[in-house]
Amino acid sequence: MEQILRGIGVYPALSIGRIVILKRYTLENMINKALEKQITVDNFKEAIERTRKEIESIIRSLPEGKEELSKIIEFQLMLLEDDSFIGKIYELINKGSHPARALKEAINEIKEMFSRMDSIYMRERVNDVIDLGTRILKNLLGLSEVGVESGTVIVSDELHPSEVIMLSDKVSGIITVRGSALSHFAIIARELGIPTVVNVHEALNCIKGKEKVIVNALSGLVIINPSEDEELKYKEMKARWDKDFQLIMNQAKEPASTKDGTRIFVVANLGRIDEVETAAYYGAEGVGLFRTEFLFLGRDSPPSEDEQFNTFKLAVQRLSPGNVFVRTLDIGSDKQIQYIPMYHEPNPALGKRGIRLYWKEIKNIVLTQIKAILRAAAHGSIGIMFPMVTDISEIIEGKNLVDIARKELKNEGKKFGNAKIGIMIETPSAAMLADEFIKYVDFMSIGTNDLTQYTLAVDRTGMETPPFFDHLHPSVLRLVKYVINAVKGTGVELSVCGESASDIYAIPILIGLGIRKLSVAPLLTPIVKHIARLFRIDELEELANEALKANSSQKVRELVKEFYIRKKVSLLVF
Amino acid sequence: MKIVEARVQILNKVGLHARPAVQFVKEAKKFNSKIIVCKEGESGDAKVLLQVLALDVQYGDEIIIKAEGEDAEEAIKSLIELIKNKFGEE
Repeated sequence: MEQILRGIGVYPALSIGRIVILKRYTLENMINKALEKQITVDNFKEAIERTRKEIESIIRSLPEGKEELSKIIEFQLMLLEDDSFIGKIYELINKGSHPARALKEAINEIKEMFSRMDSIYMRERVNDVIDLGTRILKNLLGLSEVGVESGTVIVSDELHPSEVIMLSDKVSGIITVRGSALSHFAIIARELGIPTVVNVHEALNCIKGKEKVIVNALSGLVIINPSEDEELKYKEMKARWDKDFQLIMNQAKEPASTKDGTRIFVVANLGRIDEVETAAYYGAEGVGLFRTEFLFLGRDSPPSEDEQFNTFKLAVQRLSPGNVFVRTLDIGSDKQIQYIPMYHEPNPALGKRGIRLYWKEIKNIVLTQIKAILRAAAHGSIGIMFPMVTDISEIIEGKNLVDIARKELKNEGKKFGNAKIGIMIETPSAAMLADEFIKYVDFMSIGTNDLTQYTLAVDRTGMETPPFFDHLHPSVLRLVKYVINAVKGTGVELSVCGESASDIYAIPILIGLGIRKLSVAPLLTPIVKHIARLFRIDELEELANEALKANSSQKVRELVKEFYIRKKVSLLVF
Repeated sequence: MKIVEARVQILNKVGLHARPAVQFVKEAKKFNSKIIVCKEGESGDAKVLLQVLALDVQYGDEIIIKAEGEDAEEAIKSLIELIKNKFGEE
């Protein structure tokens, strides 16, 4: 049975292979084993020496031009000479401690120190210390290096930086349960070009080993036991992708323009803070949609103003000078957060969600969030974006909240800056009133997923694929065109942030309609730029005009397909 | 014995953390002087990686570097240069 799991892609490539569940040494296990043995200081010194030599040879094995990677590993070499790590261990041993216990204590101390820090970069580094500790213990116990057969896709709870380097020439893909795009092992996998999907929560529950698997790191998908059709589709896709890959990646960081020089901006949709790094790395020119819901998930109480401030600050700094548009909390009875009480509604998508909850239910939570955004505005260009707007009173009330937040920050003596104010256009009513709303906002972002759901009266969670749910439906395109016309010449910034912004069928039409800014998943940035570069504006306008006249989404898709064939561009579909 | 002190703002994105911290400590170790890094009243030995990391110096933070020894001046000069060059970050 085919099974699809979702995670976060860290390197935009595809891989098809057989799964091996990596059997690795864990620190805890080895410490316990070592504690049962008699280990002298000299044994320990030998293990340290061996470890040092191994790390040095790992550094030498790195391909040229990857200095960043050697710096990651050098950190471990430095620890081997650091008084507060290795010095501390010897001190404990001299006091009579078992070397394994001394090592454990030193590692725990570092773990604790790192976990207290605000920097998310630093918290990720604990893994480096554990990597080093594991290597020392492996040498202390005289175990051999972990190995796998060539061409395998490895699955593991987590990985260490040195493991990825040691396995890199054998492994065709990596799937991990934990980890983020900022984890050192993920950065190394990215730099070494291994298709990698991290944060696949269900991986070890669903996978037994030896299954056939497709790793689609472009979309963060893992497809276990794919059907024959699916496998064939991916084989073709992979062949095309591998062919264009170098060209697309070489130009990832360059600004994109159409063939005749119309500038197309490609920015990122983010859901997690570590994606900031991926977005910056793959050439996103800002953030078109920062979904803030993730900040509220997996915990018992809402995140503090300071915590949110640090998150937004990191985003504006890393993606400077681009804008970062932060969508304020968008929850409702369909997207619940356990500590925020919510009514049960028979029809949640049409119930109280988004800005409709800001006047009473979650007013204080949103106020705190707005204060955090305003404080981040002192560090870079940022915008506050309200979700699910349908009429002007909501925009006015939203702006009132911003005023209250400003006053409170002033009274509290906190530094803050000016944030742009914007709205999501994701209801037909907001699209049809766009010409009124422009007087009140600095920017608008069209969320095509919800706009499609509300225009076509199709539940996006149930029927997310064509023919029922299709963001290329001419009625949706006409609404988009209406918004474009309303905004034209007003200085209000307009972007599209739904799935359609990265749909290869939709991109030519959106640009042809007049959209100049597309907000997409970070890893797709280079591809969207690539597609924008393939055509001239006049031919895209012609295509868009035909699409506006179509009477079904199927007709629109046929138009685009013919267009690509005419232009001799192969369709890469993700 | 010479004592030299300088105040500098950290301008690289990740602050004085893993990679830049390694570079910083490596540079500090090239000198014989005793070198101390201070941030908001806390201080650490510039030649001890974990002490530098423990200061949790982030982007935009201001730190004071103090060096004491024959090569104090050169030490401060080269550490400041490293920070101003953002550790070679893009």
